[in-house]
Amino acid sequence: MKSNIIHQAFYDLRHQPVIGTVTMIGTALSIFLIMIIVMMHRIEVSPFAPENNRDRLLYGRNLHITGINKHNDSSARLSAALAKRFYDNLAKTECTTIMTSDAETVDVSATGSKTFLAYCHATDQNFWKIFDYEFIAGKPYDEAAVKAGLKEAVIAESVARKLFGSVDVIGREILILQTPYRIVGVVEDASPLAKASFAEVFYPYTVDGGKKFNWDENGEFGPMQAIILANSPDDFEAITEEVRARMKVFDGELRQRGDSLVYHGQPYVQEESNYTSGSNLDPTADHEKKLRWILYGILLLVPAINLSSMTQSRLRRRVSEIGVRRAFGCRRSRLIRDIIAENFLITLLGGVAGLILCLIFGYFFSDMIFTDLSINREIDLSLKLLIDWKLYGAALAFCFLLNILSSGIPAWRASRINPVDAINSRNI
Amino acid sequence: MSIIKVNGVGKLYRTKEIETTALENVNFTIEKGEFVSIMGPSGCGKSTLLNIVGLLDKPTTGTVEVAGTTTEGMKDATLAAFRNANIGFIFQSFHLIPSLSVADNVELPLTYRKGVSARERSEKVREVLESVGLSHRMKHYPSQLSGGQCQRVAIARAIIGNPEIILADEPTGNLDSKMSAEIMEILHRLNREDGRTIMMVTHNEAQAEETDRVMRFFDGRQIF
Repeated sequence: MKSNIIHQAFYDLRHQPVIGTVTMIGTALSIFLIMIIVMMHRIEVSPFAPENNRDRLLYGRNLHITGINKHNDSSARLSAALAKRFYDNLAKTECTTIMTSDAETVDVSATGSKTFLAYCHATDQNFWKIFDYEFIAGKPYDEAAVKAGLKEAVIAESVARKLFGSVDVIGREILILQTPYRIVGVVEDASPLAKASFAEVFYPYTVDGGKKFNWDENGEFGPMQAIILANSPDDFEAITEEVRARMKVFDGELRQRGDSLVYHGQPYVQEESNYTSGSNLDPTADHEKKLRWILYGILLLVPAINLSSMTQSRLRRRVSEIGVRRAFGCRRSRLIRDIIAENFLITLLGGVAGLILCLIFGYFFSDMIFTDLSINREIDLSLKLLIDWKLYGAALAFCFLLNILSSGIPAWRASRINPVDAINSRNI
Repeated sequence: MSIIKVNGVGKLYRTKEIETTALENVNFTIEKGEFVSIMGPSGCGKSTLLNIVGLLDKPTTGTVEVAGTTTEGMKDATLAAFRNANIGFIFQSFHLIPSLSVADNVELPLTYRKGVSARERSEKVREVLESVGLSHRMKHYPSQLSGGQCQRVAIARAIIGNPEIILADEPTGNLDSKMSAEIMEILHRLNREDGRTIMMVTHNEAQAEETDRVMRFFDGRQIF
């Protein structure tokens, strides 16, 4: 009987090519648009190298201090000292990295080379434990180097080749803002889509005593963040509690000088971290999620309404067949199931076309998709990122939903038709 | 032993403007193994009666008993299963499904029956197609067959589920005389050899005369 369903689906396509083609194109476009949104969202939250641990990461980066009498209100990123105080050495964590919140573009050069702008992160040694950068040569700077504030740097392969024409550069000097650093490691270039960790040059944030990373006289504000690697996502709650307890102590200190701390729900999980627009604002992840679902709904409903009338039109040509099936004992539920199954095949074909279109578009036109990215580098949306079973699962689920939405009502109506009227082809 | 009992059956079609009486107080019984013809002019209610006996339509008044079961108040799913087990239909325009092969068309009633394996279905398809002389056309599609062949496929479909009753609505109405004779021969064989009860609507007096009994209708009433 499964083969009959397949026969019927292809028979419909052959004998009503215009309706069949429009149905497939409509489905393909709908799935294409939905999959682009799903893909964009997945790239924000799903693990991929070097951010393979995204599901175990918590982010603390904002500091919002407000006067108890509302006379003053300050917010920015954290200083290195306060980031450590809130987030370092927590129970149930593997480690925490203290690092710059945003990659900074700085002049880099080498003796005899041209100067160019590279994205830099100042980090501690734990950065290399949390993010899986692939070392081509050398090794990361270690705890001792960070403690001592040594001017050591890890650079990306592309930077090494630009400056020295080779990756065999361990021990050589790179000038970062005209200050010489000794290169200790070379890593493979990462994707700029790895927003939290992407940079081309890395060095210890403790260089020059880390003064650059404490902005105010209280040592509270700065350009830093803490990224926590939890033992497991199940530990997020306990970790958050511990962080809040530390924040509460800090809040108590602030209150003695007439200020208070606004937590804004920190630390953030990956998705929240992506949807924080300002250091004095709550994350908008829930709002974004609602918007996404509304968009999915629109992208499913609009074509579903169109496809529904096409399914109805296809069924109109099969009305006497429906009567015959009923006469020979086909139950209404079976008829609905069969019609939905036949339609699902057509939807699936359109869905596969939409998915392929999405993958092609993602691969060749990723710059158009990720226009809001602050990193001005070419985006190479690798096949590894695109070929993802979860993405296919989502596509299949959307196809199925679209199918139910577009064929459910026509199938139900067909099942309600009186068999005699159907056999005599009196219209449904 | 009666296999079909029709008691006081009437059928009224109502629209906003008019009421039309299709059948009025029809009473008859058909014995098991009987071959009965129904005759009458167009619009006299023959097909309506066949549809009611075939449980495809419900009477406005009266009751129908088929194979010892009163069908009144049966739910749709029960009616479907009952039709599947007890009644085979043959239509004037064959009503084969164009997207399905001959074998798939014939197999159809068995696919709606629980507990019949694919192998059993396939064996049964071959068997019934052989009995109507079309086993060599199993993989063909209806569009590749002549009218007579289509009707033989329809007969095979009607009998594959081994129903006791076959309802045929002008089975030779779209066929030439040679093919009509072939179809009638098959129907008589099914009646004679397999003991199936056949109720056939026809306009052909000669064909009707060959059956066990002729019931005549006029303006929705059974006249004799």
